[in-house]
Parts: sequence; C-alpha cells; structure tokens
Amino acid sequence: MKVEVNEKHCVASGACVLAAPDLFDQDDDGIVLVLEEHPGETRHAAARRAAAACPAQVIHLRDKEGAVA
Amino acid sequence: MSPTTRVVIVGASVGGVATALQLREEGFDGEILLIGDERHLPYDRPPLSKQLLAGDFTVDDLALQPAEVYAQQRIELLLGSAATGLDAVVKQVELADGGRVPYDVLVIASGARARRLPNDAGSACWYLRTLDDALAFKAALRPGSHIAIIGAGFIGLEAASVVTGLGCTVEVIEPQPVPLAGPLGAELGARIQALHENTGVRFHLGQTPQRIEVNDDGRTNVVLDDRTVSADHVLVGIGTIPNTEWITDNRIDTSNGVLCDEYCQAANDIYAVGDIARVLDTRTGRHVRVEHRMTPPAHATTVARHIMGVEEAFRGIPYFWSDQPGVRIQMFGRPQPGAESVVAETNDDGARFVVHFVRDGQIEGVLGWNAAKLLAKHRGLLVNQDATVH
Repeated sequence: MKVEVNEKHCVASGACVLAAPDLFDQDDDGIVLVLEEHPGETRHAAARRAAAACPAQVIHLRDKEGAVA
Repeated sequence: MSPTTRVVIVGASVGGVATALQLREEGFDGEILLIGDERHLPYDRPPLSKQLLAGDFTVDDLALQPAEVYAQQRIELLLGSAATGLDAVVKQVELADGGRVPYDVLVIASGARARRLPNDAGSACWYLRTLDDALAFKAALRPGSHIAIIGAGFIGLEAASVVTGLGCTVEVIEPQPVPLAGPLGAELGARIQALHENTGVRFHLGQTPQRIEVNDDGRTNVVLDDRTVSADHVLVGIGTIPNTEWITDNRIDTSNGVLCDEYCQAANDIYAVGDIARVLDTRTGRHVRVEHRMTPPAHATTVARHIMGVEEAFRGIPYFWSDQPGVRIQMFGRPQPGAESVVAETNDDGARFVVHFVRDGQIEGVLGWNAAKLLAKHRGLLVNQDATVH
C-alpha cells in the first residue's frame, strides 16, 4: 500500500493523526505530514481509518497497481 | 433480525457516502442504493464558501470520492431524485417521479437546506448551501460589486472574506450585537469582526432585515430597522432547516431533525446520520444535532457497525474549522452557554493561541487561533476526551 496526500486541500483538522499517530503528523500550520509512505500490512486498517476520517479527503491509498486500495 | 440484503440511503452528501463506504469497510455484502436530490456526483460543502468561491478549487476538486469508487464498491447512485415520502410499514421510500424503492434498512442522510429569509423577494437573494447556489453566486460577482451579506455566522463571514479578496466591497448585517458570540463568545467574536473591518468590511450589528426591495436599476435594497443598505447582490447565510418533510411516518420524531438513540437509530431498521440526526449522548442524556463536517462520517461508522450487529454507542467530540481573514479557527468540543474563555497558551507574540472554554472547572471546548499544531495537545484536556473526534 502507498499513502498519497494532497496537501493543497488539507484543512489541518488533525483527524489523521488521531486515527493513525504512527503514520501521520502535522506541521506548525497543521498541514498533514506522511511519516510512513509504505505502511506494512498490520497498519493498513489504521491508514484506512485515517483516510476515512479526513474531512477534506486528502489521503488516498493505492495498491501496487496504483488502483484505489 | 432477518439478514439485511438491501440498504437504501437517502441523501448523497458526506453522511450518505460515508455510510455506504463504511458498510463495505465493515464487510456488508448486500445492495447499497444511494439516493440524492442534486444532480452532481457527491461533493464536499465546506469549500463552497471558501476555495470554490475564491476560485482556488474547480468543481472536480469538490468530489467526495473519485467517480470510479462507487462502481468499485458496488454503490448504486440514484442522483437528481428527491425522496418525497416514507412508508415504514411496507418499507418503501417514495420518490418525486412516483417511483417506490424498497429497503431492508433505511439510512436517513437528507441533511439540511438553507433557511430562506422571509420576504426574500423571490430570486433577489443568493444562498450558499448547494454547489448550484455557489456557482450561480460566483458567476454573478464582478470586481467592484457591492455585496450585502445577511447573517454574520461562519458562512456569511467566510464569504465576506473571500469576496473581499475578489475585489468586491461588503456590508454585513446581523441582528446580534456581536458576530459569532454564540459559538465563540463576545471577545473572540469582536476580534473576528475587527479582522474583517481591517479588510474594509462594514458591519450593521443589532439590525434586523425588515424587507428586500429590488430597484429598477437592478440593485437590491435591504431595509433594516433604521437604515437601508443598497447592494448589487445580497447573500443570505442565516442557518439551516433539516430536510425532514419526506419522512412521513409518525413513529419517527422529526420535531428538530430526526430523533435517534445512541446508535443513531430512529426506529427499527431506520437510522439517521449527519446534519439531520439528533443523536442521544449517553454521557449527558441530551439529544444533540451537530452540523459540522466531521460529524457525518463519525455517525456513519456507528450506523454501519450497528447494521452489521456491533453495538457501539456514538460518543463524539464535535470539531469544526473556519477560515477568516488571515486566521484559521479550529475548535474541539461544544461549550455550553456561560462557559468562560481563557487563553491557555500563546505563540509567535500572540499570532497563534489556544483558548479553553471552562465551565464548573471542566474544559468543554478548546479553540485554536492559527494554532492547529498547538491545539492537538490541548484536545487531550477536554472532558470526555477519549471519544472519537467528529
């Protein structure tokens, strides 16, 4: 799985950090930072929770073929 | 309970879409039908008064999900189709075209619409609730246009900020003496007012619109208590009304949204999510209806799990954000009236700060003023901070 974010649309809610603190962080303005671009299998559920929690849908998860995971 | 094979969701905005996707996430394998009255693919509303109006986002940028996701997740979309009735005995939703849609489980996600100004003189006023509203208002704006905004709430003030940036001049009309005093307190409300005044916005506070008049020259007059504001365009942002009229089943309480238990359940096999849902908070015993962007996905998780047999009461911390001139405001929690606001931490010579809303020694809300990063750690001080943020 690959984690992609679109910083332009980030609204700095911090929802991703709350859902998956080991995968995401925020800069001083609250904009999303990806800590782990290729999370292992055990973290996929957390990555999905973070993507679902994001109010601006800036987190996109792709599988190896690039499809939406 | 018989196995659910068909979930029908009325309302194709963030709550409806999140419920559909969350059902798949929880392993639901049956049919999902998502019905929406707007013709657009499901889109996100907060940017309507922000990036879309400013021209930073296109319509495509607003999509809640890429179009292919619905087919991939076997979510059937029925767009441009309004629900007009409910027969909960035979378990059918009635549509405007006369069609009837059967369901095993119904999810009410029909949200809320803009409250209209009484006597708004037909089409003389603009609103900012739907994509069509926002596109029409944006298309009408010209640099130098003079805009009267009725309602100094978040939507009205966000729009004031954006259209000022587009080269328009703005007057804001508000019956209350201070903008946003309800949600933020008078002190922060006055500070936000000052931000707008510094960009040239003029306020008419304590003034109630009596009527709207359209002049022969195309300008519109807003007649107030003791003065008249004349503008090229009038934008109205005075709150919302829940879309409950189609819920024609008297076992469901629709007196203020849809009354639900702590599982977002309104009746057997009927749930509600998002702006329309008035959900029992078991911590306080109160039913609360929250119109924030992050509430619907949180409701959706509770509902999807409950449909799949997992009873997990909804326990959320409300969250919202708003973009004002040069400042992003963010708040976790929902302070009750009378909470005292205290600056808890400041940074960069006061340019960033965090405010606590305290009542009876408990922190009911934490607000960040350009302080997203700082706010994260303060969130943990909230009462009930173990709950999901929404």
